[in-house]
Amino acid sequence: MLRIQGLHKAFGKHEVLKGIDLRVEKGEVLVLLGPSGSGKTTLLRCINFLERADRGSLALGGPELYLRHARKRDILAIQRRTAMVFQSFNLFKNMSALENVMEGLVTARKVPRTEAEATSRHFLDKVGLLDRCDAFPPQLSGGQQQRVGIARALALNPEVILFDEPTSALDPERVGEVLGVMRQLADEGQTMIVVTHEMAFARDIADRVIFMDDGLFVEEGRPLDVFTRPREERTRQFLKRVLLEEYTI
Amino acid sequence: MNGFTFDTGFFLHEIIVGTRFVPVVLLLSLAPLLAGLGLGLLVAIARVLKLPVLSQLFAVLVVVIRGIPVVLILTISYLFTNLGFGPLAATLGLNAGSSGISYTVVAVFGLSLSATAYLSEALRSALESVQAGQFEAARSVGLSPAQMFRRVIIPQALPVAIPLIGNNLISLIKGSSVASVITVVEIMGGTLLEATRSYQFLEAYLAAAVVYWALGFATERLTALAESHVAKY
Amino acid sequence: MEMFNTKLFFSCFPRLLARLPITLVIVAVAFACGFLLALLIAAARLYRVPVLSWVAVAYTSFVRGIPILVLLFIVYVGLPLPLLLARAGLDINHWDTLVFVLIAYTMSEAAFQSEIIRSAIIAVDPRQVEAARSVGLTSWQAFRRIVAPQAVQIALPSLGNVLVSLLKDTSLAYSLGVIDVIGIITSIRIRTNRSLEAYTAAAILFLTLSFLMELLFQHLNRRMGAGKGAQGRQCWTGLMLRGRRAI
Repeated sequence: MLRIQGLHKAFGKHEVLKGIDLRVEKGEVLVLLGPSGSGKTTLLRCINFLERADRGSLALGGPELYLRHARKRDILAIQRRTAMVFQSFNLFKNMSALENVMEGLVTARKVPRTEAEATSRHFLDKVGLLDRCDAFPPQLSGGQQQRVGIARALALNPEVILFDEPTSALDPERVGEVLGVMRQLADEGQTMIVVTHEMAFARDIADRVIFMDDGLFVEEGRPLDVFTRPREERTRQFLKRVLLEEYTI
Repeated sequence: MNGFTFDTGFFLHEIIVGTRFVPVVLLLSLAPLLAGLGLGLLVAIARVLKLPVLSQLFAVLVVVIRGIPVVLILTISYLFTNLGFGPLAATLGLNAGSSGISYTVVAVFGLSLSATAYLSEALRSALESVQAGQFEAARSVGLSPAQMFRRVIIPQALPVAIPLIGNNLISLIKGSSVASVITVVEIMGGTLLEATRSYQFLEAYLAAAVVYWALGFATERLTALAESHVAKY
Repeated sequence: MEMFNTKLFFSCFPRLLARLPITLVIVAVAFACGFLLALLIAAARLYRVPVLSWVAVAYTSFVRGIPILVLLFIVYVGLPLPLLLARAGLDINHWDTLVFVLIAYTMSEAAFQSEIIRSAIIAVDPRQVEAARSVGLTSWQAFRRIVAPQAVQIALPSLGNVLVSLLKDTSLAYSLGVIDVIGIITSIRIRTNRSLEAYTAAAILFLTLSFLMELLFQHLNRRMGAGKGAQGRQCWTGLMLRGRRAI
């Protein structure tokens, strides 16, 4: 469904992505792993055009788009078919939780308010926060804010949801509530690309993991395969640093 | 009015004329600044420590003085001086008319009053910007209140205070132009003196503006320098 | 000569209040028109429009750096540009000085407000815009729905301050001959040979007005910030006092 070819991105002289080819199937949960600076977040942000790639093409179940010269209209179209969940939640500070979830529907898609409100309430309920729908972001805990962020993404019925380290900014006790919601989404067949350090989540939920380093894909495969029988030395080194005892190689 | 001409030569000459009056403006702004800092600090400390009678009294005074336009403070001071000087001198047994007064002094007085009110607010907010945790840490390390003030509070209040003081100084420099209303000859008055013969008022006013602007700009740069000096954290 | 004639002092108020509308008109027009002009100036700088943004920087720096009194006179003497406007069919000499006053204060307001607006917009977290784009909003929609409301909240206290400053600055309008609250004092002086009482009355008027305006803005600030979980910050002075009592 999602196909990327030859994606390159540099910030000034520093090349962050050195040629990425990626295919993601519908309903697939893909986890990107790798040390910081490997380009995982940049790749994610290039997909929904928060960063502009220098070279490469992207096709989201349709015609191929050349990333460097993509027109505003095409960018907007992609942004309306994807959704992102941010590490720092990024809820709209001047709106309540309910209004946050409704915003994309009402303003971007011109959905009538009553319908948008009903949809939003449904998704807030799904993430377990219907009773806090009138709260403003400062009144919510980190975990709650992130769940609202997920509801906001879901309400748009996106073809793929991009998760940029969704639990990195949370207290350890709060991580579970967010992963729980993500697990539920995966079970329901939502296509997800997740950048995370939560290895247990990757092991249990991902259909495929890709290990990235220095702007390139190093290794990919099913989680169990990659974690227990990594083929590349770099993968081994990385796993040694981050994995639980049971997986020491 | 049949033509619009701009005498650039005269304009530049006027700028030089204007700079000769910079000392007056510096007096009219630096003297109030110092007075305002000194008195304002006392007022700020009294209010921050919530001293029983003083803090309420000062709060009212600050609101009142800040609410009155500078031109009215100066004019009222001027009139009081004129009215009061005669009888006052007589009571003191001096022989004087109002001609002995320097209205520059009156202007400095009025501007100092205004400066004290504004600066006390600036210093107050700088003092209050220091977080509570600092106090607790200072006490836990055994510092006395005076030491805490000197070693912890003031160094941390300074980076907040400096831009505020700088802004106040720029306001004072611009405010000194109002002294022209009570016959003090500052930069604008100075350039006008030259222009009354030739009626080239625009050049005079623009030249005065340039000199004032330059003073303000210099103050801005100095403030930025001071800020970078103090911003070690 | 007596120092202060209380009867005269009280009798001044009706005469001064009668001229209050002019002062209020100057404040209202200058603030509103200045705001619109300030939006343009801020936009020129934020979008880095090639020539206009430099003009905007120069304009803002100059107008904010000169005394309002000098600006009033510059506008009065310099604005005419008679040749140009005579060609356009306008004759400035017959314009009421009030127009020059309004133009001067508008220019001043525009300069100060553009800085406030610009820094308020910059202060909004850019990640808010990222979230807006990720949800499908266009740049304009993101600005309108997310950035602008937050910028207004940030700017409100400063705009309130600037408004009160404007009110006090209008006390200089009389120097161009406008018969406002202070301009009328000249005629009081001619009739009664005294002006101290009138000036004191004017001072009290301005004081009251600026106090009311500050209250209004405090109320507005609270309304806009309410319900959004503003956290109180503890001040060391409170601890210090509490510590004393504990001893």
